[in-house]
Amino acid sequence: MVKEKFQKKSYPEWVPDLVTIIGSEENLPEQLDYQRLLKKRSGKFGIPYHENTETLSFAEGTVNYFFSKEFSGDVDTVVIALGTKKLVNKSTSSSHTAMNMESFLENLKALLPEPNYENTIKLIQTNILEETEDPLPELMEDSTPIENAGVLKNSIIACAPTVNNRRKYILFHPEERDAANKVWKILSDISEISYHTWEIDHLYSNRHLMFEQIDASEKNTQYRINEILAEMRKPVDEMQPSDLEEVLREITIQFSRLSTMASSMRRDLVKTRSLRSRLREILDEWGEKPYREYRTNSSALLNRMDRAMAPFTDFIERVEALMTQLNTVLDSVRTYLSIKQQKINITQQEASKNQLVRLVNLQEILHKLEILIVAVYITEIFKTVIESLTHEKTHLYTALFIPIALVASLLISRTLHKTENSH
Amino acid sequence: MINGFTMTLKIPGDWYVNPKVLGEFYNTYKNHPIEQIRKVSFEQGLQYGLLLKEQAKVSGEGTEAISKVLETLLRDEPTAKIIQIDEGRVLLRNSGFCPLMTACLSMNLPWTWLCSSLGWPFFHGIASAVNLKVNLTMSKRREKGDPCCDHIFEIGEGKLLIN
Repeated sequence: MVKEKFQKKSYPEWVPDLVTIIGSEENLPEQLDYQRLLKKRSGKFGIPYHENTETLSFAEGTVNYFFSKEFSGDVDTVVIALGTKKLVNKSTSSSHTAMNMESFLENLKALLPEPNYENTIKLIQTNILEETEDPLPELMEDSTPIENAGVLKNSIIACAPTVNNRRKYILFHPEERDAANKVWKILSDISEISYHTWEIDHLYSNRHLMFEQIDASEKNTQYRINEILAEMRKPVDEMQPSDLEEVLREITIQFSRLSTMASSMRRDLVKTRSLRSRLREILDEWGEKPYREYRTNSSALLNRMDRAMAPFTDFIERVEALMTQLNTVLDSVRTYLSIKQQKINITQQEASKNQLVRLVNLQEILHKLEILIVAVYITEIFKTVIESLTHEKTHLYTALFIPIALVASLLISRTLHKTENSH
Repeated sequence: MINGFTMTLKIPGDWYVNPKVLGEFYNTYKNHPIEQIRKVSFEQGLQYGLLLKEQAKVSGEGTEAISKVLETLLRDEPTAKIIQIDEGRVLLRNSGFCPLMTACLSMNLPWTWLCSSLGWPFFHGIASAVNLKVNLTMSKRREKGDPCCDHIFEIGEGKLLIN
């Protein structure tokens, strides 16, 4: 996906002496002065010019010019290359040409918006691999120290430390067949590397404050988690449902917040990994070998990318650790609620049991009353029968019949309940 | 209309957890001068504060009233707590994972820009609904590397002071 952003361009057949690669977040086509300048130049040399032209190559006097807009997306990368023509008569002042080139470049750069990054590459045609002394320190202007250097097949690429997103390179290349193609390939790679490096740096700097905040935020969240866990240790009866609701709401908010942060940071990490992987592809193609005691450009760059990626991983892991703890808090709340529910159930069960006992007792009383009522009824029937037979000793016979009536009533009751139960 | 600057967005009270609102706010005002944006945010906070004051039936112009309005606004926010109410001074502290930071991270929005242009003036507006002479001093700000954000509301000249 990252690779497709940079398209293959047709580069000139001459080897440049000075190249500037500028990346700017501002939309370059809107820089009318820059466009007008190119239009004017192309008109002067009879080169067809279109506003959408992505490359433009022409010569003026002894100088070759090449302009290319490498990419239009978050950042427009403009490559401006200048090279002196190889003249049969070399009497033309080379210092004058170089001065003109640099002043033209400076004038052109002044028309461009403030760059997000700028790389200047000075190209020198020589074979320093054969030299016994290290020529690099002398060749870098203004005593700029060399940070990295490495051998790419027959060429050597050295660079100075980045200052304010500006970096200087020197590319030494031998005089060979197909030199222009090889040089332009390296320059195109540097352009792509610069863009991807800027992208990773940009992602990192956008998140820098958040990385700085993680310690304090983590500490505060940890305190709160500990507070909630301490609350959970209270006896079940001491915590009200409203308190638990409050705790649950807070955990839900914190959990969703941490989850959003972890996934957003993971999104950035995936993007960073993809950019690093593309850089790795380019650098693997380079197959850069060490030059003298210098650290290779590839090793330094990959190391820098790893350092930029580390805080993303760190942030995600720490946030995920907090999420795990919040899950523990949620489990505690669930356990707390379950114990509370169990207690409520036990109380309810006891209450039901007592009620049942009362009902059984009541039923027994009713049964006894039932026997008594039936016995009274039988006795009354017996009394009526006895009264009709004899008026004498009615009370005595009735009194004597009472136990028989009670037994009969008991038998009737048992028979009836037995039938009820069997149904 | 504030100083020739038209308010086109209505900012809800939960803007700090609402990435959609934050995104709209950023896209609408990103190219305007910060002082103008702050005036808009202050005005929106003031209007919302008056509403909260009415809802929470807050009366008076003192620190208790300011504290109550702020508490009503932040009742569902676990990271923001009023930790001190003194004579003429209320300290609101936002610690833990900032809701605005989370929302901005999820939508790739500039966190510190939104704090400075929307967050602080909005809270100043909320407190000003109680008393127009309230100053808001941002004594601690995560934006400058502090571990938390301390919002100090004091009766003064009605200014937003960023140390």
